[in-house]
Amino acid sequence: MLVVASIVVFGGVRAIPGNPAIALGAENRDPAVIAAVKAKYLLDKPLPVQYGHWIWLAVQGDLGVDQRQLSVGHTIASRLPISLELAALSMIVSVIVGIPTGVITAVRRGKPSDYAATGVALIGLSVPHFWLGLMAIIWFAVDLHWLPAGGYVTAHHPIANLKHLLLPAVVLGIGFAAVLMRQMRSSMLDSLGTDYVRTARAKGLSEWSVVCKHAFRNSLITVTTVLGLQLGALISGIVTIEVIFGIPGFGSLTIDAINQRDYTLIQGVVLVVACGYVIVNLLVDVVYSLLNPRIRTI
Amino acid sequence: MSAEPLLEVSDLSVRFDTDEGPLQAVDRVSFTLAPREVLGIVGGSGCGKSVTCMSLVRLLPQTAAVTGSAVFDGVDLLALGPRRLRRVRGREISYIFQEPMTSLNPVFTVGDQIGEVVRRHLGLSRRAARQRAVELLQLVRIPAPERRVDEYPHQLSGGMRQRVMIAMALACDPKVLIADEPTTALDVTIQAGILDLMREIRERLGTAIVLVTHNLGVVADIADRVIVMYAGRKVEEAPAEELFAAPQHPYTVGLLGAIPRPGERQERLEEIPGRVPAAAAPLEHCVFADRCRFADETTRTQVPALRAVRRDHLVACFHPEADRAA
Ligand SMILES: Nc1ncnc2c1ncn2[C@@H]1O[C@H](COP(=O)(O)OP(=O)(O)OP(=O)(O)O)[C@@H](O)[C@H]1O
Ligand code: SF4
Ligand SMILES: [Mg+2]
Repeated sequence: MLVVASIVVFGGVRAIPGNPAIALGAENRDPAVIAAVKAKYLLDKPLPVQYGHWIWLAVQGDLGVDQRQLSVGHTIASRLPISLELAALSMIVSVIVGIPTGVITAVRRGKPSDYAATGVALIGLSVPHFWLGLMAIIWFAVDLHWLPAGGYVTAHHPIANLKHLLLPAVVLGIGFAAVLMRQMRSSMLDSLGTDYVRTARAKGLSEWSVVCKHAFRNSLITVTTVLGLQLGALISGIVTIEVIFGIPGFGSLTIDAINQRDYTLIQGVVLVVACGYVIVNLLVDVVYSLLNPRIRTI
Repeated sequence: MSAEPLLEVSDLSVRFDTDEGPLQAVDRVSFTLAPREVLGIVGGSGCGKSVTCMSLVRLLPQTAAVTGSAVFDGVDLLALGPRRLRRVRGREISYIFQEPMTSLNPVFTVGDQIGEVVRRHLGLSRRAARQRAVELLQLVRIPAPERRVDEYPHQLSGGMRQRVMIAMALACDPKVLIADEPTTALDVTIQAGILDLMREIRERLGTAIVLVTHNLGVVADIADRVIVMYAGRKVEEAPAEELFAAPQHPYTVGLLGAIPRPGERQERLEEIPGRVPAAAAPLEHCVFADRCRFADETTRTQVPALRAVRRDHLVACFHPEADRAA
């Protein structure tokens, strides 16, 4: 899986038009410089050798140096935690908002509150992140001065750090909350119609137990898988939000790398994303099997 | 049975609001259940047996409009508030469903699901509830109960799951056990075991049982009294021996003709020609008229009322067997 991803990354970057040697040589077209650069980066060797060399170094944690001769590994290591924090905060927001509303709308299916909430969710789904982000900046930062309009403060100043990340996390989280809510609602409706929920009622359990224990636990299984599938959307959302809010995270780094056609940096960034994908999917599988005894105990 | 009834159902009607219009699934059914009695309810597929039973503890979806009354222990179950209803469910009246494969929650252990009932109704601790679950598994003859108690439903066979359902139903020593075709979904070889268990429960615990079944052989075996349903109505009611010795309604006669002999493969009782119709509007003729050999002008234009042909033997037919014989 990771091997395939790394080959795609490697091949993809090589397939971008333009000569990497020229770019790596800081646009210096002197043949001697180009030859030196080519030799240094093994660009004169066949592709499989280049790939082998890159991977060999990558598994040792060395992703090479970028155009400014800075270690790609270091740059990524300094930017990644910011994005991870943003991702975690927005996930928390979306779970806190999405799961309970999903459950409540399923229970009150067909009532006005259900229609209202599903309507709002539909709007939440169709509004793009960048627009919501801009609106949030205008309302809460520019007009109301409640929160800073952008930027980032390290976690050494926890309050300032949270203040800066709150708005972007909410904007990002709201979109996922809508996805989660719809998923939760539909799988709760399925669960509430099952025979085992009828059994739970026949046992004389409280409505709370019936809904929040028997139906909920089963619905969570489907929702977990969907959550894993949303990862791609989360990553692209992070990129957009970081650019809008001027957060110096992994997403901004990616955009900068692409704008500057910094191939080693792009290669490194994309490889990290691919690894992240694999890790998250693995985590989802683990959670899924923890929630689902039919998988756990075979 | 002369004892004071434990459960008295009067004029129970259930109407479903469906996309194709209203559907009268149960039409003015009345019956009683005495303490320690086993009441059999028989009838073809779709005649309203499950709907009748589920309406008693109000487990039907909201599309069902239920009227009539079901008085249990001096209170009408159909008019009970949700809190008091929950105190009856699982404690005083337990239910065993027709579908053992899907009636247990796949994500909780058997012990959790049994223990939950006693924790809820008897306030037992987690430990005590687990202990009680083991005892109950033993009672329903599940081998190695200490191990099984921590297993999940998917690790058990259909027969085992139905035993777990029975254990769960018996957890609080209920006064009434409603068993809706507890064996229909199971293998023939396993059916016998479950029925033995039902018989034992009745003898050892003295629980009154409403036993729904397609299988008249089963009814002959354990029921004291039998109700025959057709198209949402009670068409005949009699003590079990009498029903078998002298069936009165042509439908019952047909059912008995289709009874499988012991040792033969036990088919569902579908051999009677035609299917049970689902009525929408109140009928103006006998429900069975379309399929009855004895149908005539009277039966096609009037609804036969239930009447007693003998003591304790009711039948809704203008030409019961007794009259024709005479
Ligand atoms: N939720 C529902 N909505 C609409 N109609 C229903 C619903 N449940 C049952 N019915 C209808 O009510 C009628 C009686 O159904 P019921 O399940 O009581 O039959 P049954 O006698 O238990 O049959 P079986 O032996 O197959 O279990 C059927 O015509 C069925 O289609
Ligand atoms: S009333 Fe008539 S049609 Fe109905 S069952 Fe009796 S004989 Fe048949
Ligand atoms: Mg049924």
